[in-house]
Amino acid sequence: MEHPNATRMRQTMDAFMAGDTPRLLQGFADDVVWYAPGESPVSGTFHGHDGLARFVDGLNEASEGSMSLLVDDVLAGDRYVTVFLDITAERNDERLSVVVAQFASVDGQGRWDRCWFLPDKLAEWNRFFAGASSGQR
Amino acid sequence: MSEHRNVARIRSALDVYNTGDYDVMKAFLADDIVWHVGGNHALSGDYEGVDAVLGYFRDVRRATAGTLQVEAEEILANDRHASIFMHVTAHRDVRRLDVLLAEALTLDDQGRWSEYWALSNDQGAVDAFWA
Repeated sequence: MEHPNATRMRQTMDAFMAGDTPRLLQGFADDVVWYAPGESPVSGTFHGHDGLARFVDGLNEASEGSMSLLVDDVLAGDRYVTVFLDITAERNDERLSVVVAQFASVDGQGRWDRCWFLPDKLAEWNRFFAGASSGQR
Repeated sequence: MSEHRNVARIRSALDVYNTGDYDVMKAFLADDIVWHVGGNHALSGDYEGVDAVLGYFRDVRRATAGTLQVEAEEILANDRHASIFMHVTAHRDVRRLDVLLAEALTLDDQGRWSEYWALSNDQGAVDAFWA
């Protein structure tokens, strides 16, 4: 039987793929801290629901809505969850295809309160999102 | 629920890592391992192959005069993947590191580490430590 936090993480990823930002944000603590690695406009530390929404908007804008996210595997415990994601996106002639390890810690209410991730090809990630215009903190 | 065998295996690997016995550590790593170190510091980047990874371990140990220690807070694993959330502490001259590091691993059919990602929840502190 799957750990409840694994199920919750799959629901969060489903909300992201559906473009349902309000449902997506329900899974996160109000004071969530989201760390995005690399050197692009969607890199840095984003705070709270507003910050996370800006990060998501930045991804969608830079990928022109083409981002696809496939959950390969979820590892979950009571305090932490790690999800392995196959992420692809296209914009004009540019194509992104990376495996991302996404980490999250869980607060007392089962919401994600700290999140951070790392693509296997960070340089490719940086190149693709270099043109993103979002990324305000 | 009983602990997955790869959890116990990783616990053993971390114990070996803390001793600095990288010849023994080598048995836990696939020959063609790819090791991704996040952040923006001198050691960030990708290390390909077991010799490159062991070289990275030795660089870290040398730079911290053997003070770097890892302590797992939680280890998650199944047959294909594992994840470790660990406290990492180290000294480097007057600089002190004390962060939570998240690690993700893909495992080969022998339970050896074949791909590795690591990133801290306070990457700025890690970058400053290695600057």
